[in-house]
Amino acid sequence: MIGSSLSLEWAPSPSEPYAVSAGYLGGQLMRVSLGSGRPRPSRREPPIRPLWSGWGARLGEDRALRYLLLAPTVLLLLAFTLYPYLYALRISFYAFQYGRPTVFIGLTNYERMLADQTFWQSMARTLLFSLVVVLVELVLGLVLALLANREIRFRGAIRTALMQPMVLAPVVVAIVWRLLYNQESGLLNYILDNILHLGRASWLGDPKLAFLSIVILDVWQWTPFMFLVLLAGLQSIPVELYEAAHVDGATGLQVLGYITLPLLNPTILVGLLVRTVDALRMFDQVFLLTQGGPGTTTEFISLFLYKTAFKFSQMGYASALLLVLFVVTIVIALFYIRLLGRSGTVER
Amino acid sequence: MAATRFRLIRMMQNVLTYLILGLAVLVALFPLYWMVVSSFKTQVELFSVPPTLLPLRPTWEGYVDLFVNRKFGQSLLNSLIVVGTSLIVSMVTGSLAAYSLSRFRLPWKLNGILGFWILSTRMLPPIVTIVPLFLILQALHLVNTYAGLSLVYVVFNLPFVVWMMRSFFQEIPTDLEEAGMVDGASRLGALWHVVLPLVRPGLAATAIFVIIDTYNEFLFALILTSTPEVMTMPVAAAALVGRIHVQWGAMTAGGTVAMLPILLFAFLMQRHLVRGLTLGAVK
Repeated sequence: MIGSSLSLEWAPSPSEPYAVSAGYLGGQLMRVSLGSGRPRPSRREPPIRPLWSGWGARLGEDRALRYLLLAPTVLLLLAFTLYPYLYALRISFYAFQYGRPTVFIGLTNYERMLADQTFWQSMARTLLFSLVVVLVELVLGLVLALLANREIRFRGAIRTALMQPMVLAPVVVAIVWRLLYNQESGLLNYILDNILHLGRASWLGDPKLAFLSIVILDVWQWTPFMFLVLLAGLQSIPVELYEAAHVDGATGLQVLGYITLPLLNPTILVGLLVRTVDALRMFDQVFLLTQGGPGTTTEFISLFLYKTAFKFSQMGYASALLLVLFVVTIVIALFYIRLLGRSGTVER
Repeated sequence: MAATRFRLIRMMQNVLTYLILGLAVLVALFPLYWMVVSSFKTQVELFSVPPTLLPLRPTWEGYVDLFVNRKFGQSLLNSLIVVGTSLIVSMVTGSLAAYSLSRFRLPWKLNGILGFWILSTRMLPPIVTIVPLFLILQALHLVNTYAGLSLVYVVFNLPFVVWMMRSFFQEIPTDLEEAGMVDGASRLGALWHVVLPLVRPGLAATAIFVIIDTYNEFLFALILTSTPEVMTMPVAAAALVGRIHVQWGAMTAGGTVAMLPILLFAFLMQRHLVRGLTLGAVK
């Protein structure tokens, strides 16, 4: 889903000759700095204004204003993100009857989760899926970005073309791939059978293939994201460094290993962070194409959660599940943020 | 001799570069082209071997089925209403908060804490809030209403708007509005007359991302809407992606119609994307 992203601004500071920054991240253009809010060097305390402009009165106005402007956002977020989490925590200790949390059952939901094979399998499947797609997308995106960063024509056009898959609605992506994967008339099977003579595959119906099919779809949609982020990172590396390396007689591989990749490291980490957090919640396309099937071969944790909550109406158990997903996501995100902090370019 | 060999290697590299990038573009775009073409094919032609690259006898059947029998127009209208409402509310609320965060120093390091908290709400899987949100909205009788879904989208978009707009505000020197205030404008007057015109590209870029995000959103829409009168486009289109009996014409037509506005916005965003990249790249 596009909406989910985090990117980091490598906060510019006078000591750094350049700043990798801004990115087209998560389908979003955004700049982010961790531990934000520190005033920039360029910003000063407002100068004391002459009395005739009534600065005393205005100062009072500002003091109230700063909270007034923040209040609606903070209240909305408190009411609809923080409160839901607390509510979920509460109802995870209850059993549900007639759509209401009625009976306090302590840790029963969590005990059940520990013993629930389906839960562990879907969790493992989700982690495996995230790992595979993120790595494949990183490698493909990096290769494409390195190529597009050469002195080539049509770079703008290539970028425009490649960004199309990732702005599409998941439902459109599902329709596109429903068509391609179709067993009788799908294009992929036509190529497999009539051109390569390998026979037809049941892409979404074969338990051995379904997981791979979802991986392919995800790689198709999100490799462009890695490509755009990494290309932006590459283009912010100063040309002088390459020129210096060239003068020193460095080979292409040396330039890649000693200049490009180390300087690209923070960008790579941001890309990995955003994509991993995103892949962990894979839901839409799986829901639309396989519903977790055949069997449970594509049942990721979010789908399992959805079924528990809205198909089997076990809201208490679902709440326990979602809190675990919450914790897993935070742990993984913090791991990357830690790495980013260590890579030294992030203001903390 | 060495020079020609060097030139030859260079040329080979270039050919390979264009070949791989060209292949990537083909892989990215052909499936979309395929969906659009398929939407104009008859049921018979869809199953023809070999497949045709252009429809031999173009037909509107799929679109007729989509709009007349399945009332897809209503879902698009619903999407328009929900996206529009949540866009306006989240842009206004979020921009004001972002202005405050970027201009005022709050006590107790609140700038940093609020900034990080707002960002973190964005990172978490939406499915995590869906169960409690559903129960809360149910209690408020807001399930399956425009208001309920719009409200959820406002909350969903706010962190993004705050984060984006804050960075845009930070790029505008405070001297300008201070000058305005010395000239007698109030803080809000300076915000309106001085800052807002300068931050317009940022507002546009943010708004486009919000539009795309909200229009595409599936999970909340799936759970919070249930009747055709309220159902947004993704949910209505999802009904077309049957798993056994697929109406290929209606499905591909639906995909094409759903894709068009996004392609338009993505094209608009392209300009802001480049602008955003250069704005932030070297400071």
